[in-house]
Amino acid sequence: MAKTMLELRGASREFVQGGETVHALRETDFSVQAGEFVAVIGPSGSGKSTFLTIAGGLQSPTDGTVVINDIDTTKLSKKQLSNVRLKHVGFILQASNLVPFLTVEKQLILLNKVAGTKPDKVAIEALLHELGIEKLRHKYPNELSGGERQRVAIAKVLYGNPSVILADEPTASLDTTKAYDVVQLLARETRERGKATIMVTHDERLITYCDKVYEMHDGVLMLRPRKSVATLPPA
Amino acid sequence: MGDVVVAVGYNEDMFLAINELMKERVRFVLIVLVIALVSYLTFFLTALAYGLATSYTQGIDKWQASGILLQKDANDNIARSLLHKTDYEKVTGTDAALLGVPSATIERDAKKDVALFGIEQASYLQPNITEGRAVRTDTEVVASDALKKIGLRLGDVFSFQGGETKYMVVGFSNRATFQAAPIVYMNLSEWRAAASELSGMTAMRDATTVSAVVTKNDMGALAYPTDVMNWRTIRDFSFKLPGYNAQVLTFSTMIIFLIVIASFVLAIFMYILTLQKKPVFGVLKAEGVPNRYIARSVKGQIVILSLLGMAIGLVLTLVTGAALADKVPFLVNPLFYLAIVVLFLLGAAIGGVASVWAVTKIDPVEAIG
Repeated sequence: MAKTMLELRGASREFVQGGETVHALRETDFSVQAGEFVAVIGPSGSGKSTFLTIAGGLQSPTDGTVVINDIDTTKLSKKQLSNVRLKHVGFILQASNLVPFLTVEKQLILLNKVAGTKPDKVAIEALLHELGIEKLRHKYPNELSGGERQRVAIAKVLYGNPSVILADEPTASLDTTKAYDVVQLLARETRERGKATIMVTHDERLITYCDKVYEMHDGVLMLRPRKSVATLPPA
Repeated sequence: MGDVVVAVGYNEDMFLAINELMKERVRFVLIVLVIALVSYLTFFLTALAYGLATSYTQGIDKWQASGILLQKDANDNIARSLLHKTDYEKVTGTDAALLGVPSATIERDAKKDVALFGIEQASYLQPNITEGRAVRTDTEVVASDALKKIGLRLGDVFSFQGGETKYMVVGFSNRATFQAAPIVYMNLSEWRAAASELSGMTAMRDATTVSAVVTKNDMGALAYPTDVMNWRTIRDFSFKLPGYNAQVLTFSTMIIFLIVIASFVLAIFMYILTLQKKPVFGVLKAEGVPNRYIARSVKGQIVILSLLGMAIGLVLTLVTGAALADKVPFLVNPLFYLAIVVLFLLGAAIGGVASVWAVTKIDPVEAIG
């Protein structure tokens, strides 16, 4: 059986707003294995973002534990948590998380600079080629199309070689063809490289490529029965 | 140039800093320009202030004396000070030298007011000779090389305006100005005659009168008639020179304020740029890039921009200084410049704290939510 890369055990998150306790995330048990591509769908305000920030080690749950690649993050300091994110978690965000003043190639090299390691020229070359963006290496993000930007974002995440990939509405700014394209790519890389990928989306069509689909409603995360996934038309 | 940029760009900490500078060139060139202009003004004013202050005192500073004795009633004004032999004879303690200082006017190509220093031939007040030789007879003088600008040459024979006596220039001395006026050195005995001839001060005819006694030793080794004389250190005496204190104070106030303003401007620029980049930094922090790394990048930019701006300002200053050397008392003191650079960097660093603080306050959760 594949290794569990991310696990939430009874994790919940609540906060007080205007004197009322808001349960952003109810007690949740959740896990993703290596090579698994999971979708979380739900309306806005359902707690998807809270779920993602807790799964990604951006904030700690009020209760319960989060284990990322066998590291229990519950008792970690902010600094240690930041280090866990740097080494084990990759983010692909809606607006694409590229630094506006770095060229495509340097987006990847930045990871080396922060970690104090030497850039792996061979790996960069292979990644750029694999994602079909080798011609864009000297371009800045503002010179790229939405689809190209997300490809670069994926390349950047894969270059960091994380255990867990969290994609937050990665196709929000793309047309249908490009959106399928990007998700397909993400699914393929997840399986080939044995990553645990969670994609948060509100686009039902994209879940075709996912191994499991969770639904989020009012802070409650539920696995959608396998059957309903299978009935969706292929892309 | 490309190679250099790449070499610098691959430095671990400055990776973000340098790459942003290269990408947003226009923005940063403008910032550097502002810093360059302000530091240009700062450096230039400093050179002017130092040049002017030096031209006030270099003629007396080069004695490397400890102090000066003046007539008590002269209110520290050497032009009004008269010391009689009966009084200065009582000054004990070695290395005291006599000096007389009135002023006169020389006319060559142009008119120039000069300070007339009468000194004993053997005393340590004798000027260094940069050209020609020292004074041997009463009708010979050594002049400040600043007088070459009005056409005074070695071997010239001249008389002061309003006087009959002819003097010959036998030597030149550099750094020989007092209260911004070039100094003409002559024998003490002749000085008395010249002073009385020019200013009509009859008391000067007394063959023993002097304006001041310069002392080499410090106060401890010195005894003098305190009822008629005051002893001042050379530094105190300098600050009592008419206008000197006011001018030094005015200039230094301007310079300090310029440094503060320039540091503030830079700090505000950087703070705004940091706030603008909040979303970018937020994402970086979400990805696990430590505060330290981002803060170092911001600080690095501050240092690079400051140094670049100041370097341009310095070059402009030196070019202007060279162009105006004959017209203004422009004098560079590397020590002052170093102090300005350090102060400015310090100010920028203090201002940069705001930016660093802004970076640490960014909540990475917001980058996702």
